[in-house]
Amino acid sequence: MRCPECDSCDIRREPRAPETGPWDYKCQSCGHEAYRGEFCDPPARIVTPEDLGDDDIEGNQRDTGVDMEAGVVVGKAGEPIYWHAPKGRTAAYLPDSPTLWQVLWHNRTVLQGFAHSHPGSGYPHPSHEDVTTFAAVESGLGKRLDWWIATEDELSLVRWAGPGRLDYTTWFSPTSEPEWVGELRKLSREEANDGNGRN
Amino acid sequence: MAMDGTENDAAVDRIADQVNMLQDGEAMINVTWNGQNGDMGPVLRDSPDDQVKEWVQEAVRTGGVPGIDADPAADFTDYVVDKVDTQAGPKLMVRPKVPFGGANV
Repeated sequence: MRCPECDSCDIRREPRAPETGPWDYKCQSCGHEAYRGEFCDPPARIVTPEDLGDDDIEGNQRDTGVDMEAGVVVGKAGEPIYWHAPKGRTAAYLPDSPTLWQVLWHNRTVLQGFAHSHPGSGYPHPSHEDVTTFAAVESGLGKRLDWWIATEDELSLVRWAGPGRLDYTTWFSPTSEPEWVGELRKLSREEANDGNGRN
Repeated sequence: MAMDGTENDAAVDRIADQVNMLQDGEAMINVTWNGQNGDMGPVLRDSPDDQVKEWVQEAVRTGGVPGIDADPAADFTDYVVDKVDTQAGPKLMVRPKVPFGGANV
């Protein structure tokens, strides 16, 4: 990331109190503060499943009528890289997916994190399946990520806090939601149409 | 054997060597850990997943996978094994699991 004010690369995350949300970043050179997306990265090529020669995108699908979990891989600038709606998803589960891992691995240098939805409303908490997946992915990539969980009316952000392997902390009620959250909710309740993920 | 000495030819030679090294029923293991990736083996293609993960964990802890730095704390509990056919022959891809959902913690 580079600071838009002084072009410094020394940008650090400055966690805020839960009431204001842990979303801000601060330039250590000039003190400029902003949401992460306002600090720009050099253009980086995003790798899609199609680039990987994976023509079987695991039947990414839209399901009819019932809310289903869905996910999105998010890049450093806050941009959606890959929408994840695999075959076999349910209202309570996103199944394991070699394609999702390939997308995470090949985009690891431009990756900020992954978000998934929990259909329904209220404050979303990670499940045991979630946190063991968070820990496994971070150990594979060799880097910590941001993990968001969205319900119909709330968004939480989960990050490793340590010291234990599964010691993750959850923040609620950020002051503003990233733009992709609305689209993620839409993907969770959308009726069937194109049968493939979007990039 | 490629003859013009380019990087592509070297890669082709490596793949050919790997294919030639495998016997029927064998596969290489590909491991991803801590942002690094490497191959080890060969092993029996039908080896049980838990056995493969044990071998990989021991190898990574002791620095036995070329391309991956030794990590005594390596833990492959939440990893899975995909059996795939690649240009270089059968591979057992050991990667992190990526399901989400279930009951809240």
